[in-house]
Formats: sequence, structure tokens, C-alpha cells
Amino acid sequence: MLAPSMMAQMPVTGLGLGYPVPAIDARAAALGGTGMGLLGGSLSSRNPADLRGFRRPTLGLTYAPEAITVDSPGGSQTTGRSRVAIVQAAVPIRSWTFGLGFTAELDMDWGVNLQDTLRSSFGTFPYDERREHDGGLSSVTLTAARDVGRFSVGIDGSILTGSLRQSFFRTFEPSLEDPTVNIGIAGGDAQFSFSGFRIRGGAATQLGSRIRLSGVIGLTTDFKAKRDSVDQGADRFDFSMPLEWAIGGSGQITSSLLATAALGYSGWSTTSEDLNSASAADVFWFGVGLEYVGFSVFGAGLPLRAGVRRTDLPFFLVGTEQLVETAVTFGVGLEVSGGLAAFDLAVELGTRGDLETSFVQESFRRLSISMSLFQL
Amino acid sequence: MRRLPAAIVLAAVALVTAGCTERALLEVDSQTSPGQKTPTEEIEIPVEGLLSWRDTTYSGYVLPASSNYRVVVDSVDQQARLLGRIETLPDSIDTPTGREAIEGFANGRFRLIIDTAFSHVPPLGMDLEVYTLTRRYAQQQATWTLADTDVPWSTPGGDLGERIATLRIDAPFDSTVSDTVFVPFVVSTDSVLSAWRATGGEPGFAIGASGSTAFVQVSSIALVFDAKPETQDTLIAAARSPAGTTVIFAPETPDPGQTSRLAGLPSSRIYLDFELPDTWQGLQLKGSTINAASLVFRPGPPAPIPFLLEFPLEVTSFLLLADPFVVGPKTPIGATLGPNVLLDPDTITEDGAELVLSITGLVLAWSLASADSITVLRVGLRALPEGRDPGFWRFGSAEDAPELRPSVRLLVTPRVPFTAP
Repeated sequence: MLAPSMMAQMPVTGLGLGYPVPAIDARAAALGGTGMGLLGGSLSSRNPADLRGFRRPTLGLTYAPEAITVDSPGGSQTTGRSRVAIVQAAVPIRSWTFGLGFTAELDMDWGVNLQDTLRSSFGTFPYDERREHDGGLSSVTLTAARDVGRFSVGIDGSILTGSLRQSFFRTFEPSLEDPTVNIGIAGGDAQFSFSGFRIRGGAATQLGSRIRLSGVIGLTTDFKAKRDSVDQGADRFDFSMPLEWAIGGSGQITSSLLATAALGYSGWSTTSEDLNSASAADVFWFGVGLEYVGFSVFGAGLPLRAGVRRTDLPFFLVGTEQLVETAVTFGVGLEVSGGLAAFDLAVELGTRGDLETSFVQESFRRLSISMSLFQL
Repeated sequence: MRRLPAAIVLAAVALVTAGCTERALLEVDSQTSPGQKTPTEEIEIPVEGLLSWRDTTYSGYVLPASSNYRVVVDSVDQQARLLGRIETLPDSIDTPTGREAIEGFANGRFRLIIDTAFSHVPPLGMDLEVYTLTRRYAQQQATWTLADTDVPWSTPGGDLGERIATLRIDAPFDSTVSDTVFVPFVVSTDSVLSAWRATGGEPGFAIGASGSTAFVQVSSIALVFDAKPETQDTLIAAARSPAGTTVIFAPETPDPGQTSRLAGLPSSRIYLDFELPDTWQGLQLKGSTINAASLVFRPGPPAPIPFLLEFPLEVTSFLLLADPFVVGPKTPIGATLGPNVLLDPDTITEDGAELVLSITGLVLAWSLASADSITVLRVGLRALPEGRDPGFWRFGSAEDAPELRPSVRLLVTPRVPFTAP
């Protein structure tokens, strides 16, 4: 195990297959990252059966940038990440609802700069080194859900797709002894393309008008990474993907107060032996939240939301402890045009990892913005 | 006031979004920074570590006849004479009344322009002397011992006949007055020049020096004389430059043998070829970025006097376009491979001194070329200016002791081992 003093500032997107992006909208994000069985509907991609929560054609987009402070024994630095977390459309046709969604799955973006000096008999050359990973995994999901008795059942199939460009460039400055001596640039890049398939089945039911329960189970085929660059050794890598399940629900405690909770599991430990530079472990997550709908602006509802959540992160440095992400969440919504459109905003303040045990630590401020159109 | 909450929300959104700008993290330790990494390493491969190495020295690129080394020397360490011929003596001359036949020659003298910066007149003075030769010489082949290939002089230094001109030069030589001296004939000008006119200047003349430690660098030679037209008493001055000039000196430049030699007269070059291994001590070379590559030569002991290199010169490396061990000294040469390197006789003798010549472009091309397209790297080295004087420097070759053998020095960045996470 490396001593903490030896560790660099490692972003979580640089661990294993990256950072799993929660495929939830801003309402779910504000409610502790739940998004399961939410009364009133959620454009999250937790459970295909939950699409039956929309009785009108719906289109929603959630943009979720976050500011990050990456900590290390030597200090902290700030950076940021931006993602379109989910774009989801739902079209109800009689007792069916069909959905098409685009979802961010794994974020692998990161970049570091390094400055050092090469001393050789050719001269002394200061250099700037840039290492960068640009890309990630996304999914395109087709969903079908319908009511069966008192239940809504749904199934979806996702094509997992994406790419990753890894680059490394070391740019040398002229020799300190003789500025006419240049040794140029060293480095290169490699491009990987990703593919896979996931299928999920879920069910949801509403107990009266005040409680909705939801559950889902999903299975993903091996995740395949294919190197597009030539002459660099093995060009195909397979990663076993986890079995996932989650359950959750919401209940109307009073006419203006809604409570929600969800928990889930992903069996990421199956991926561990396929990784070269990290370990993986199973993930448990849960979140709880409250929504108060007593306020209004210009006659439009202005729900206030708050919650907390905790999730394990699947990937961590070999020989260290698994990272845990915790966050407090809050947000606000606004229905406009008589409910034909909605804006939701969520802010999550949290931390990931622990410098002493996992050698990786980030604090983050994530903003989720959802825009939804109803009755297209 | 109702707009206040919206304004606060919008401001918060703007601030948080602005804080989400993606920036690269600044790391301080290459080994612990995330991502694939590759070192830039300096290695030195001795000749025995290469797949092959051959080196040789070829001489004769600049011969005494074609160099600017024009000296007359009389010292314990070196003797040198200039040889030449006056091939175009006229039998008629233009006069104010027309062109007339020449009846005779008079007042002959050799005009020498002396490079005083490199000349030395001994304290007791010296004599410049011009002799007729009694044996023909071949300009390109003549040496101190040979008049032509396989034709030795009867007397080393040229078969001297009559002394036809002489000049006493006293020390110190006052170059502020003039660096031109005239060596007047001491015999009948007419008889000498008439004989040369009849033979086309053969067998020629030799200019020598007499006076211990005399060393005269001559930058220009001409024969100046007066011609007497047949029908006039007036003498008409004329001058002729010698042809077939060369310098012969003793001791003669020794054969390089197994040593690698640069410069000298005849000038020497080092031609070599070698094959790099694909990997060296586990470090991948083929396919890697070659940030810098050099040939490293270790200086041997200084050459003996009078072949000791006195003045700095530059050394350049260039591409050889054919196998020098098949084609020989006339192997066609290509582009230069790197900047010229100063070969300074004052510093080359220091401990650990090396002659380091860049061949980066050549090795980088080898590294990036497909397998088998470039296998043998061929390089030539020569001094600039070439054939300036007999001074040369020796370097260790593959046959020398290990500490003198050349080597190849590389700065290598192997390919980045990009792999899936």
C-alpha cells in the first residue's frame, strides 16, 4: 500500500471505469437521489415501470455540472465537471407508455498537468506534461411500460456506447544550457470505443393515492472496450458488469408534504478482476427526502425539497478502502404554464472518499437543472 | 419583492455553474500522478551492445595539391617545399607599336604574399630559395619521397637543380610595411625562362626555406619578369602564376591504420555503420520517440608533431547513401545530421572529453520506420575546414580498449502503454 504522502491528487473519474453518474432528474436529486416510485412522476432512469407515472407525453432534460475540490496531502485544487445526466422522453399510448432516453453512465473525464525538469548529458530540459482522459460511457434506452392490474410493469433495453481518448504529451522546453538545443515532444494517444447492452425489468404499484412503491432489477452484458489505435498490443478488453437492483417509494404524509426513500445494490465486485489499475467492490446506496408543496409564486407551485444520500463508489485504488459518497441535497421546483412545463433545481453538497483510508478525497457542489415539457 | 427569490436562485445557479469549469489538476509527482506514464530515459549503448558496428577511416578527400596549405618549412620537426611550374611563358608581347616577338627575359623574381599571422621567421633570419627541379612531378601524387606514383625522387624533398632565386629575410619580419616579398633570380633570367618556355615549364621549380624553425605560410605565388621585344630597347613587365602547384612535406602523414582519424592532409574522414537493437536492457527503442541521439567518440592520444592539431576546427556528421565498406571512400554522402561540433585541441585532451555528434534525425527515422525498412544506419564524419593543414586528431575505434570505444547515446521516451482502465 502506498503511503498517503506518496499519493497524488486523484480524481474519482480516474478510478477504474470512472464515476457512475446517477441517472436522475433534478427533483430526484433534491430528494436525496431517490427517483424511485416518486408520486408526481420522475424523469429519472431508475425504473422503467415508473414511466407510467406520466399520463401525458413528456420530454425532460437534466444538466448537472459540479464544482469539485480534490484533496491531497499536499493541498487542494478545484476543478469541475459538466454532464447532461439524462434526456428522457415518455409517450403514453392507452395503457402503455413508451420511452426513449439518453443517459450518462460512467464519467471518465479528467486531466492533470505536471511540470518537472529532465537532466541529461544532452542538457537540462524543463518540461510540461499533460495527461488526459476524455470520454465516458452513455446509454441509449428504449422503454416500454404498461399497467397490469394494480401494477405498472416496465422493461427497457439499453445500448451502452461511448469512447475514451487517453493522451499523454510531454513538451520539453529548450535546454537551459543552450537554448538552441531542442528535444521536442514525446507522447501519444489512444482511442477506445465502448459497447455493451443492458436490460432491466421493473414494477411499481400505487397503494391508494398516497403511496407508490417501485422496484427494478437489471443485468448488463460484458462491457467491451476496443482499442481503435493500432500497434499497441491487445485491442479488446472485456469487463464483467454488475447485477443491479433497487427499491424505493414515496408517500404523501400530509397534503403538502411528501416523503421518499430508495435503496439499491450493484454487484460491481464482479468487475474487479478485469481491471488493470483499480479494484472494484459491490455498491450499496440509499437516499431519503422530503418535498413540501405549500409555497407558490405567481400562482405556480414552488415545491421545496431536501434530502440526504449515501452511496458506495465502485472503484478505488488497489490496496485501499472503498470510497463512500455522502451528500445533503436540497432544491426547488417551479411549474409554469399551468403545469405544461416545469423547472427543477437541485443542489448537492457532499464528499467522496477519505484521504487516509482511500487516498482519494473530493468535495463537490453539484447543481442539477431539469427542464420538462408536458403535453407535447 | 416577489422577484427576489427568483433573482437569488438565478444568481446561485450562475455562481455554481461558473465554478464547474473543468480545469486540469496540477500534479507534482510523475510517479503518483494518475494516468498512463512513460519515462524519458538516457541510455548509452557501447559498440558491443549494438547488433553491429563497423568503422573505418578513409583519407584523400583533400590532397596537398588542392588544399590551401602552402608552406615552406625548415625545422627539426618538419620540412616542406612548394612545387610549381610556369607553363605559359610567352614568345611575343604587346608593345605600344603592336605585338612583337620576345627577344629575351630579364629581372626575374618570384613574388610571394606571406600570411604573416601563421608564419615564423627565426631570430637569426632565414633564406627563401627557389630551385629548378631536375625531375618531373605529378601534382596530385607528389610527396616528399615520390615524384609520382611509384616514382621516387632521387633525393627526398625533390630533385633540386640550380638555385635560381634567393632572398634573405631578417627577423623580425615587418609585416606592417608589406606582406609581399620578391625573391630575385640569382642566375640568368633569360636562360631559365627560355628553357621553361621551351618545355612548358617542366620539370618545374621548388621553393624552400633555409633557416632553423623557419615557417612561412604563402598565400600567393607569381613569377614576375621583364620581357624585351625584338625591335625595342624598352623592357615590358609581365607576370605569370604557376600551375601544378603543390606542397610536399616530411615527415609524411602516417597511415591511419586501425585508428579513427579526422582532418589531416591528405584529409581523413570516419565512415561507419551500425545497427541498433530493438530493445536495450528492457527499454523499447524501436517505435519509441527518440528525443535525442548522439554518436560519442573518445579522443585518443594527440598526434605526434608536426601532426598535432594546433587550431580548433569543426566536425560535422552526415548521412552516407551507400555502404561505405563496399563503395569505399567515394561513398555518396547525403544531408548533414546535426549541428557542427567544435573540436578544440585545448579541451579535447581534458579528462572525460568526448566528441559528441547529433544523429537524432537519423535514429528517430529508424525508430518510426516499419521493421526492416531501415536496419543499418550509415554515418560519415569530417572536419571543417577539410585539409586545412596536416594536423589531425585520433579517436578510439571499435578495435580499441573499451574505454576508448565509441558509443551511441540516446534520450528515449518509449511509447505510452495506453491500456483499458
